[in-house]
Amino acid sequence: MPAKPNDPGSHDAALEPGLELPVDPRFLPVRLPVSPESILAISASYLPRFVARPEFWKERAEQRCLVEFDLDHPERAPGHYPAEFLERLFQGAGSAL
Amino acid sequence: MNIVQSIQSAAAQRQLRFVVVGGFAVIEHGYARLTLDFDLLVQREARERWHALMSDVGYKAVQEKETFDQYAVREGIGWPVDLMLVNEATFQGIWAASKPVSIQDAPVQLVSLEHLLSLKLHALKHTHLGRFFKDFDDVVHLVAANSVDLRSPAIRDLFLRYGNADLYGKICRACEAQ
Repeated sequence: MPAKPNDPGSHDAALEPGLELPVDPRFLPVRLPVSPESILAISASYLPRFVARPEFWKERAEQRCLVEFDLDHPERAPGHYPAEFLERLFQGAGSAL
Repeated sequence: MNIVQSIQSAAAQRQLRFVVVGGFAVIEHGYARLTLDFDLLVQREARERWHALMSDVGYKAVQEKETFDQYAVREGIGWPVDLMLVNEATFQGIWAASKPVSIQDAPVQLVSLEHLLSLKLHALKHTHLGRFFKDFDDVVHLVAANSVDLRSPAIRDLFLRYGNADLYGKICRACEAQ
């Protein structure tokens, strides 16, 4: 059955240009003080959904830093991260548009 | 009892010390973002005693590495808990600068902002692309939320000591662009 033109699940509808979205360069989000306890409560409410994902524990293990943190001797382990790639990313922001 | 209370109570009984780091600490220091685990910094020498403690409060080890242990609740759904293992001198330094706070009605020690930034910079320096942006985002927001003066000599030294000049430059640029 072909998707209807206005069906939000339709791929064609998602790519349809011409959406009139509000633009206001003066808009600044208001950051109100939030209690840490309320953030933890919200986090806890999402736990069941995320923990149930099959890849949850695998991803957690992969994301841990394997290099020991040494407060007095941080120089013992030389850094290894994609610095050059990130620099190109930072410098070229927007070039793909 | 919630998990923070359970661990705090069990640790006090065993005279085991811990400092709250990770997402809970990021939130306590003013960046309101979600977290999906409870990260504790502990003495490596106490690893086996921590293993027994976690078992007693209903957890099982799911990952054991040289620098961290990861625990999951044995039954049901609860906060995953990560233990970050450090040497004695590092633990003593971070403990001495930590401050007492109440998290989920449990009295615990919270890592200082300077040491939290140091831990994040360390992670940034030893990470892969998939993890980089999460820690980078944390640092940028912690700087903003706490009005950290990135140009002050003390902060610059901290960034260079636990990160490097490249990371310091990128974080300065990101903060200034906000």
